[in-house]
Amino acid sequence: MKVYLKILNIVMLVSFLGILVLPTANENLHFIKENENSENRTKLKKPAFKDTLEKFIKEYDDYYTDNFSLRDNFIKILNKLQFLLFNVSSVPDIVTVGKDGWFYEASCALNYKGANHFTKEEVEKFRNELIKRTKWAAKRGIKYYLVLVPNKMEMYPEHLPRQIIQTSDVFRYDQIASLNNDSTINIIDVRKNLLKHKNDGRELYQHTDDHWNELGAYYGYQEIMNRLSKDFPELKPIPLDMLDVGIVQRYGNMATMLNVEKEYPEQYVKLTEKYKMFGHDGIKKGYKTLPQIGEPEYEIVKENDNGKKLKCLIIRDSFTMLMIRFFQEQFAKLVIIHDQWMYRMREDVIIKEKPDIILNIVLETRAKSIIDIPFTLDADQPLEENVGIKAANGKYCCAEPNRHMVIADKEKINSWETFTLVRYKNNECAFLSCHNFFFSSNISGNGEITAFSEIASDWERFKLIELGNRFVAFKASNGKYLSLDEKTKTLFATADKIGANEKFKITVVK
Amino acid sequence: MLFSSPIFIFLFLPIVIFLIGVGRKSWHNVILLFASIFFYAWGALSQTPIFLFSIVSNYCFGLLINNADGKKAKLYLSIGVTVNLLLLGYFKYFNFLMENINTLFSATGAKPIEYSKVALPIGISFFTFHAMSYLIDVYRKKVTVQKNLLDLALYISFFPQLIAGPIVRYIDVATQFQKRTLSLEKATVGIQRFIFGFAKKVIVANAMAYLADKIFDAPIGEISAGTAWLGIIAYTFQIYFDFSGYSDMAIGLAKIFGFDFPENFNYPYIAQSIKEFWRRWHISLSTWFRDFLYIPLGGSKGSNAKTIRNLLIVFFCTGFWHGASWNFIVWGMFHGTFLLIERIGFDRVLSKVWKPIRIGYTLLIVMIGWVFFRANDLTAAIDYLGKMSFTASKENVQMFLIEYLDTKTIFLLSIATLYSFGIFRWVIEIIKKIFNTNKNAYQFIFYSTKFIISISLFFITVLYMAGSTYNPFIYFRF
Repeated sequence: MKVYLKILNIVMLVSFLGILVLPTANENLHFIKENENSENRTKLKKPAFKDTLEKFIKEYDDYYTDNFSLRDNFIKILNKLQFLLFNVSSVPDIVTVGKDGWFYEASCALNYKGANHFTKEEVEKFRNELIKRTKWAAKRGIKYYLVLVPNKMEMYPEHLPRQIIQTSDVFRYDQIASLNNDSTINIIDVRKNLLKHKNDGRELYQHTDDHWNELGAYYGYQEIMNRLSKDFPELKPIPLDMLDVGIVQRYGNMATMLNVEKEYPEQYVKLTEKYKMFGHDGIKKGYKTLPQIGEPEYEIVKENDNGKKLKCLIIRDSFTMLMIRFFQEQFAKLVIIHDQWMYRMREDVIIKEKPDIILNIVLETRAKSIIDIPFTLDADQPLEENVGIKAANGKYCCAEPNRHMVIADKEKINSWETFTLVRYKNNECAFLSCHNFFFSSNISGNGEITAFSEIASDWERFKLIELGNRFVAFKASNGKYLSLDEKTKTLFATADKIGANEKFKITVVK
Repeated sequence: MLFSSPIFIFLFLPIVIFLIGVGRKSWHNVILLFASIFFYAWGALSQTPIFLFSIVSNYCFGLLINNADGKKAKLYLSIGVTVNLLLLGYFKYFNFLMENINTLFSATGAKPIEYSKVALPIGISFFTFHAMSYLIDVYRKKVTVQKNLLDLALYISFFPQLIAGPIVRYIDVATQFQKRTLSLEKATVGIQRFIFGFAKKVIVANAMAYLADKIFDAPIGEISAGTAWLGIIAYTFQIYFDFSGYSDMAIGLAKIFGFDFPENFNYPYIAQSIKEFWRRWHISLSTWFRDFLYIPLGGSKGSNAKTIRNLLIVFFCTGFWHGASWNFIVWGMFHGTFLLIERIGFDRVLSKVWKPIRIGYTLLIVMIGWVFFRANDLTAAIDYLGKMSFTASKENVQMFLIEYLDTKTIFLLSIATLYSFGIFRWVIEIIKKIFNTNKNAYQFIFYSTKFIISISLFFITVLYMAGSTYNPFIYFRF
């Protein structure tokens, strides 16, 4: 027995040490294949020693925690184990495990329960914000619509786990949709159409993903087009019988996150066009990509040369993706921006694109961003004007396309000397060049003004100071005045006072 | 560095075990000392000089106390203890003091004092208490002074007990620095203890913390009374499994390196009085306060009034030691008050009632105390207790008990209950009795099963540790 106990102790020690060194050994010897990362994010990179040792240690610790060998294998085993043993989510704050193999986005539960209703003040804020957006757009000949997409929990509550208890049958969706009674507001309620077709024999949302499927997206699109056709009779939805409805197997994002995609494959409802498609990829403007959104997803442009006339701008989230193929058959140009769930009225994009229609397509759960980040422009602010800017040397300013500088050396106003003047509150303004870049005082080097900014943030806004006799001066956000350098004829934002070289004359170009 | 972090488990620990395994015995203390300082510096590099200062100054004070006698030794002891208390006072309590002064000032309309916040060095509560116990025991001639700076440094900095205890008294380990056994049997006992503590922390305590945080962080009006009770039950388990898990890991690690640490927990939730609770909970701290504060104050030898004073001082200090906040002071005084109530006669009443009632009473007091310990401030604690009393308004309640009780939570709550109330221990004792015969076959089954369970538990805990780093992003690249 003593010998046996000794052997057992040795085996115990070796097994313990074996598990301790397993990741390091595998990192060097690669005897176990590493699983793919199912986290939908880029892992931390190995830090370089740049700053302090303390900072480096912290960064290295974080890096190691994120990257140790076999981490993804361990996580996958654990996720699967927890799911199969307990039928629970390994990421309960992200995925809620429902009944019958249905998974839900956990953050929607509060809304479904009725635990986070908008206050009266918030509903009023919504009303004012939507009126402001609609009026501002209308003044520019654009129709603005807010499209609400309902949460999966509201559409398919029958598969929710018993733990989610509804305390109210009024959702945030209803609160916002009720604003449609105001004739100045255009809200497109796609939920009605989805509910109408919910029991037609095919599901409209995916079991294992938080999104709708192609049929759900179609009914969403159908409702949008039906509403748009009231204002634009030439727009009509593509009939469903022009599409084949089929089923394909794929993996939903939530099943992947729980590492049970193979156990719960998605029977995905797919539509196939029976008609000839005319919409195709268009040329992108290259709007500045936001941090969390990859370049291919940030700006999508579709064009259709098949006799279409209208232009549409969509400020979207992920629910729009499955509708694009239908929309692209309806519009001459379709520009789709993912505004990182902020759903802002992107005046810079709107001014450049000049669309006929703006669709703000918003998942109900994220709709609060609309009032959290309100539109900064006044509905009654003056329309944008095309202007020429004459500097103190009597020459017109020109956006220099190669060096992106602004040079005052032209005798006449042609296209490169024409700028769109955008006016904001408190006498602030911005200049948009003909090649769709804003003047910016986010200067480097010698302090030249550049014409190379895609968005009109603080750096691109100038205080317009009237000096009389049609002369003006511009104060940049760095506190300096816009100034002409006589030698190079270049505009700088470096002057502390308004002198002769800081005076400009603005001419409206018809 | 936390014991439950991947860098500790997969890099630090195997490297230290390897170095001890291949290093000469005479190098072991040096290896462990450097490993401990590295362990500390990894988590708090900028605070390491304070830590090193504490080691060197206590080494010097130890020598001074030892080499002097009578009043001089007492003077050196007083200076040494004062230096430790100043370190602790400044780094742990300065912000709290200033916040309270400024609250007073603003109440009287005076301008608040501007001050820079002081960062709390990791483990300062533990290493200052280690050091003070050493100085006092040297003064009392209970231990021989440590003339080897490296050995004293190892005592204060030894990484298994550095950041979360137990508060190992120098007297308990003094001889082990020069003479200790490293054996296969001891190492495997240590490994099993470490695995057990690791699992308590990573599997149970973390799950309970998730549940308790969800409930305690919710607006109080939205939780039901049942949910409030679940929240405090989860926290009761969280703090026990977390703290005792760390102690188990520390005791286990120490054993792997040949040291024997005293026990720190002994099933505190089966205590039958608050007095007994403190004999079972954080034993190293309560014995420290008993030996270095309560007894020097006169203990229970004087009048009743003096005993009451001494007890309240000790429990004030116990509460305040846990954190610089009024919550902890109230928690300490709350326990002190019930200890007094028991002392003035309630213990006689308790002794006459049925054992489960005694346990129930103790547990109820302990859980109410944990509300003060966990809540963000005193107002939140009072509100939470109001909710637990079933008397609060139910108008805005949106978070019901059932919402938190999924199968995994029920399973872990059951495990936590069975373990905390000693039922597992009882079952294991029975099994041991059955198998503890001379029959080799029975022993074979018993030890093999124990081995398989330990290693499986370690692997599962490693999975949970990896799982705790899982941070998927739902939207990117849709």
